[in-house]
Amino acid sequence: MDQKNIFNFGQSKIFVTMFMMVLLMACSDSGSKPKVCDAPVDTVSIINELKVDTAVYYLVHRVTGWHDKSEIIELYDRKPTFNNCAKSDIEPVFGDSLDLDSTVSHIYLNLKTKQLNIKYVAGKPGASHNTSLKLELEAE
Amino acid sequence: MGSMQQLKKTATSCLTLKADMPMSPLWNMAKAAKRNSANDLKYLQDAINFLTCKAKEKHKFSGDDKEFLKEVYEAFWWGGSYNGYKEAAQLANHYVNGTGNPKTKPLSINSGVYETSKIVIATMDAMKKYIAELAAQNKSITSFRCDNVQFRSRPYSKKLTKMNYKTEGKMKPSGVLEAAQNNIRLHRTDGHFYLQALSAIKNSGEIRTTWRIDSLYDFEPFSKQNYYTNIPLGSGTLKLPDGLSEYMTKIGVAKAFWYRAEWFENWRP
Repeated sequence: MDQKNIFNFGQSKIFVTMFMMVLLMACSDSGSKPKVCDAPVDTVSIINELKVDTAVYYLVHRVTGWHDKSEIIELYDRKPTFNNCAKSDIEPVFGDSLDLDSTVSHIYLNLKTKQLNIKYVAGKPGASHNTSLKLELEAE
Repeated sequence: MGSMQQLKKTATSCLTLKADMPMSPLWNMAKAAKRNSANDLKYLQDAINFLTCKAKEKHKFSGDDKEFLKEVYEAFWWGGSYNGYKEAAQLANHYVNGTGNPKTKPLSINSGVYETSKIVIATMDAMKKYIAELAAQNKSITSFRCDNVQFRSRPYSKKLTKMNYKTEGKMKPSGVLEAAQNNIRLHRTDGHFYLQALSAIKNSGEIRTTWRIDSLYDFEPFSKQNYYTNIPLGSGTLKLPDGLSEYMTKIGVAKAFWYRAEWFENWRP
């Protein structure tokens, strides 16, 4: 197959696909549509929990973005669940984006303010470092 | 394990994941998205998992493998455009159809996506204060970036580091600006970027500033991060490892490239 024929084959394929997609859109049943998420969907996971008396705090790691991603740490005072769009059923009590040029050394929870104090050391983190972070109680 | 055994293990390592390459991924993605077709989603995911294994083991990619990956990215152009993320769609398409623009010849994109963001507006305001300060001291205002150490030492730039990561975006400790998590259009275009000001004083006493952002479109390799780009299709998601997107540049399917947004402002200090 020469270059011209390859191009024509590629073009035909695109047009056929487009035509079929128009048919698909026209035939879609809008009543049974699943919830449409913003693309791409964040990668989210509960990475640690800390029990303090009767309360349990949950540390969540979230990766968001397309080619240039951000990593976010969230704190919840109840166990969150996430839907197919990675949205939580409750609001975090604290959240912040991580500095990806430095390595997190400690994450301290201040019980009075329910804020996190994130400590860094120099150097970029390894691939799995930020998903294995632990929550620590800040000394009063 | 002997070297022959190791070689055999490497050669057969992806066979258990072997999958047919979908010939029209756009069609399968549309069916998964519009009809919530689990079969189409699995068909696509199996193909991506197989290619991910091949990339990690550095196996040879066939023509069908390469065409599939290219068409997945072309499908992102459709999806991005359809959902109003025009710039992100343009960039994804350019990744597989562009020439790999060097920094000296960047791809030009619509600056509006940056200009309207809160972190960029606040940074422009702080940088103009610094330019006015330099001009008043007869110092050069020709060019500086937002990560300039002198600029970041000024009190009016400190507030940039305290802005809300979710709703406004913020300046990170290195001086790079991070798009707000909720500003999806910008975040999908560029997660982190440097704002540059190129200024000149006009005869009228006004200052003309060219605001410029140069960024590189690339992905983190398998060796550095375990990132995934999760594409929502119906009630499921297609998990595309960023390492595979990066590996596409190694097999000639994609090219990393520089892109630029630029706008101008005449203002009086």
